[in-house]
Amino acid sequence: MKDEVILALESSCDETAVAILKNGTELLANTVNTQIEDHKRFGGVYPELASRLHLKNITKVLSYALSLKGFDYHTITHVAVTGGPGLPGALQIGVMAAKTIAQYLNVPLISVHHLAGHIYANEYVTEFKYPLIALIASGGNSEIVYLPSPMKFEILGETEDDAIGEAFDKVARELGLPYPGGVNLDKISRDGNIETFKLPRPKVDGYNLSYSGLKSHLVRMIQKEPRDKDGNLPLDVVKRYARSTEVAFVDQLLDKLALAAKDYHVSQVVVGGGVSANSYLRSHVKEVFADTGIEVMIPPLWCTTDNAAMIAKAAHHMIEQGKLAPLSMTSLPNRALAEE
Amino acid sequence: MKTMQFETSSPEETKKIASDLASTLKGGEVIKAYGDLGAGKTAFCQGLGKALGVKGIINSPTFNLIKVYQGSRFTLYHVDCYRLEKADEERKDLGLEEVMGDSHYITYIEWPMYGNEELLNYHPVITVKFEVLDEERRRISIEDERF
Repeated sequence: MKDEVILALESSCDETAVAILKNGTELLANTVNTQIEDHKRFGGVYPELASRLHLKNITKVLSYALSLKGFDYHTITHVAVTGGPGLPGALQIGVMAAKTIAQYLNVPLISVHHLAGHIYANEYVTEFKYPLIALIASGGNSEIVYLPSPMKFEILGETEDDAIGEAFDKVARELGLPYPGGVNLDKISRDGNIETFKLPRPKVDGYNLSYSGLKSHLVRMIQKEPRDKDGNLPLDVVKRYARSTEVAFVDQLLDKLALAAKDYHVSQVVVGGGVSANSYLRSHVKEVFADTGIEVMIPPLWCTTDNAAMIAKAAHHMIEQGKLAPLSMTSLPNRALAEE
Repeated sequence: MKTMQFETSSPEETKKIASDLASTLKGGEVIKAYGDLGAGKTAFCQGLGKALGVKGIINSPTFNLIKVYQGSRFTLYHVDCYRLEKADEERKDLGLEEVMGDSHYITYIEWPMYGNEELLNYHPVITVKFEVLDEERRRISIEDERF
């Protein structure tokens, strides 16, 4: 049988990435050009600038991946691209490049959902056992997703207000911690002897999450704390807040995740997104699922950032199911996972 | 200019005021929302969106800067300039010039004071200010330049 060779492109946010995947398992190339340094100074990604940088980088990243020794680009059988969600202008660059290549090589195009990619990135390190539940926790997402079978998604829960990573960043900023706030909040609270205080548990229906009320409560508490003459909070106070915030935020997430896993009788739980790098979450998630018989998969760090290898992996399953996209496809900045 | 003031004691009451404002919208309006973290800016947008026929959850746009929702008559642009505070003019450009004022869209902007010149100088706007009175209560002032 002819080899399946997928060329995948990802440009939904601040990484321009290209990957080549052979027969669903053999990753021949995985190139990422990140814009993080260009955005870091201002604490986040900026849409117009991001689009311009993608435009500048895409041909470089492509030619680097395609210059792979002994690789003939005529062997490419499919072109896959992130078709949303993401920044409109940024997505557009990847989609235009993908369409051009697909048309030139006369091969089918596959439009992949960005979060499907994040979930399937875990397949590079573990075999999926269906049905499974995936948790996606990042600066922009907090979602609990049920997968009854490959590439079938049902959103069980999502945040009703702030994403967990964003709420972390805002509390960290109020505590005077530098950007990226969530990461620094985690670093400062790693010392295990910090005494925590109890925070209210938000009442949220079903498997949904809520961080806005907790965040507001914390901000008001922090504003009332006594400060030194330079307006800084004492370090021990900052540490107590950091640790207490981390425990309250992550516990809420894990409670809902555990509830969903139990109700849906899954055998596997997969974690993804930037917040899966949080040390309290990493250490605590294993405890939560100990003695339940449910296998928990925490991804290696490279899976938590954007890349095209994950897009290729998801595309491989879409090809199996015959889910190809016409050349007339457009990117959908608000594409919904449940409609895949 | 028309000025109104309300006091609310729950997010639900805040959403009700947004819903009343939504019923006066004709398309093309730009709403600027001012207030501290947790004062109710996003809750107001949720009320607005629901009244405009948006299905599903409206949550914070801080990370993405812009979230777009389809309502029954208009498309709702939910914008958040919170992250733009220390950004330069180039980064502050959110490409809203084609959206603000277009009768297909309603634009709702949180932390507008961190936006670019174009956004700062845009008129007419509906300004909504949120003041935290205590844990639950909020004072909401609306200044409507349409009238």
